Amino acid sequence: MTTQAQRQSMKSDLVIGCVIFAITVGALIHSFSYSESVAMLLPRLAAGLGIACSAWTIVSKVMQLRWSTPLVPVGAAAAEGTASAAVAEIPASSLPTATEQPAEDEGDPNDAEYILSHTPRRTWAVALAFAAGFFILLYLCGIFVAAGALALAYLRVVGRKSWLFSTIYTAVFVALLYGLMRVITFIPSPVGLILPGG
Amino acid sequence: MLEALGSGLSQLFQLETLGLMIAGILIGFIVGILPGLGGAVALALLLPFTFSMDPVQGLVFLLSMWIVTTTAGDITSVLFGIPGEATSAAAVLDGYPMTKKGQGGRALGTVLTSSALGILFGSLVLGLFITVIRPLVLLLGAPEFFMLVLLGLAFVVTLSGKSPAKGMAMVSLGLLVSFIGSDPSAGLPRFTFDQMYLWSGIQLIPVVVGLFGGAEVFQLMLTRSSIANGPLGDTKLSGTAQGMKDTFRNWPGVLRSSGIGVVIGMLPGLGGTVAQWISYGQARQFSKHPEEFGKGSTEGLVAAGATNNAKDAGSLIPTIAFGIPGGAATAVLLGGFLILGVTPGREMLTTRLDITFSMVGTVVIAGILGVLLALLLVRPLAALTRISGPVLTPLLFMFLVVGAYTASNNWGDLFVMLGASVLGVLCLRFDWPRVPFLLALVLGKLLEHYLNQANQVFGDGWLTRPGVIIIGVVVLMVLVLSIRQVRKDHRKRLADQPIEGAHTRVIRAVGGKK
Repeated sequence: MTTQAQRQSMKSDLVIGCVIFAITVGALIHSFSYSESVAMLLPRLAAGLGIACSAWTIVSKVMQLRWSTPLVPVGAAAAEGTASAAVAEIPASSLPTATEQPAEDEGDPNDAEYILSHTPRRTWAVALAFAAGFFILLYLCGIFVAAGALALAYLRVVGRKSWLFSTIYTAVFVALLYGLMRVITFIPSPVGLILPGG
Repeated sequence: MLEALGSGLSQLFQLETLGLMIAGILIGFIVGILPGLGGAVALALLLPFTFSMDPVQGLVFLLSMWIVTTTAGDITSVLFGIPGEATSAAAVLDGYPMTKKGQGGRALGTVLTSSALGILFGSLVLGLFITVIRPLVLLLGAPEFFMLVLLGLAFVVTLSGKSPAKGMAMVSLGLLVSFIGSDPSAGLPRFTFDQMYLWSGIQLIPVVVGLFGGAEVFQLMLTRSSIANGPLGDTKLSGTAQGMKDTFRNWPGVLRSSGIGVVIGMLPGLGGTVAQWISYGQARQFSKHPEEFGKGSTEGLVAAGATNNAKDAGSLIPTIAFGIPGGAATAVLLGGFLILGVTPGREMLTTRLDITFSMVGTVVIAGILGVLLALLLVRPLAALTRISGPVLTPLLFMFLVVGAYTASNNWGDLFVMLGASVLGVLCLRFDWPRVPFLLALVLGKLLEHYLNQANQVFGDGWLTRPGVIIIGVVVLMVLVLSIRQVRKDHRKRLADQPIEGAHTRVIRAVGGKK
């Protein structure tokens, strides 16, 4: 991992640590709003554990961020000679780090962290839009309409499949889903607000 | 006893009974592959069909279906990263990364072979110890169960990866989420924020489906490629034989994990969700390559597979011997016993021992046949991972929605699944461990339940019970060994990758200019 990536990782750990700290402190404070008859021993212990561990994470990340300060100390640079001294006061972000060297940036493309951090924003937006659209449609029209709409739209827009393929796939998919849920297993499925049968 | 064994097996090998077993296996296979639709639900749905059957036939039908759901649950965990069962979540951690590297066949070979060995081990213990296990299990009370749950939590340090502090923070979050709902002593609502859905607490299934499945499906939406993709695309889908070899080579791991599965499965209330993580944690501790865990370690996959099936056989022991179900599925099965006119307890161990042995035979035969069926289907199943991502995505979306919604048929389940998916994505993106959260969610309720019982029955005296002290020592040992391992790993990492301070950066900067 490059220095810049390490700093980025520390910053995100710091943010997540702060969020967990806030949640656990909130839970602890909230636990005192209940009457004494409610069992609160273990929830308070759990909140205490969360506060301690998130505080530890926050403190350690702050210290690590300070130690890996972007400004190179003059003393260290002097020891490296004049060439080093020339770059001593240059912020690390402007130094040629490994992120600018393609060979060192190659991660495992199958690794989840790599995929999630290297996906373009547009792809993120499309994926989130489809997920949001599906759940809104599911709420309004029920599972069969939402499943059909998702299949058709996703295959056309993202999969770039032909209309024929997308339509046949959608029809078979919805029919199978309907058969499985309404004819064979009778598993309850979310019904729509507008179309209760959908 | 030999007479009962012979009688039990002869009843089992009737043509009609074997036909029912095959039907049970096929239904179990389909149910296991569908996420969320677990063995307990399937047992409950099929219970009415056994009304007209004789006891052995009815039990063979139900048992064969239930045993195979566990095996089939591992298949979706490995191929799609969506656990077919809550108890199959550990198989996702190493099985799915192997599939993504194009080793789906090998991963399935590994998990299925370890499942088969786990079944054999569990059945052997079930057959041998069913009649003598009673006094041992009766020694354990609520205090010992509380300590066993603590033992499960102690493995969190091992499962936390590089940073125990992050892992423990996730544990606290998981525990807090598990405490949502009515409190065990007074039945008053806690952390429910006036939401009726939260009164019964957060359901496990939507969390498992979202935390693992949701996050993986979202990744598939981002990559827009098949599950097995990338530069490793030329690797073969075959490799089942290699996976089987991997399992046999790791026979000590199989034995340890199967043993853990049987013991934890035998303890009522703990169940397979706990067993899989304890087993996974010990496998990591014993491994010479703990750094590979979570990235496609065959040792981790062997542990998950072997435990998963061995624990089913283990949970049958208290169900048959005392009528105490080990989990939800065995509770439904117990209902089946009563419907079929079989009373668990002394009767099953004396006058109707033949039925008990026919059940043992069913577990072995149905389990092995289920694994063979899955092995036969490895190539077509693994080929699914080559299907284009956009084609697979709508199907996987349905798995997520239906899987989560079956928990309590409430929109709240879907919101929980979505929340868990977001948490899963954040954990993957920023390298925070997911397993400690899930483990704490599972164990939190049990921890409070047993602590409450121990205090009510024994007062403070439970702390001095021999069982509590012995398990307490084991907990401490696990913690000490885990912390040592973490420190050792940390030192290794430092040795391999020098920390880049300012000094290093200057040298690199100068080198770059040259």
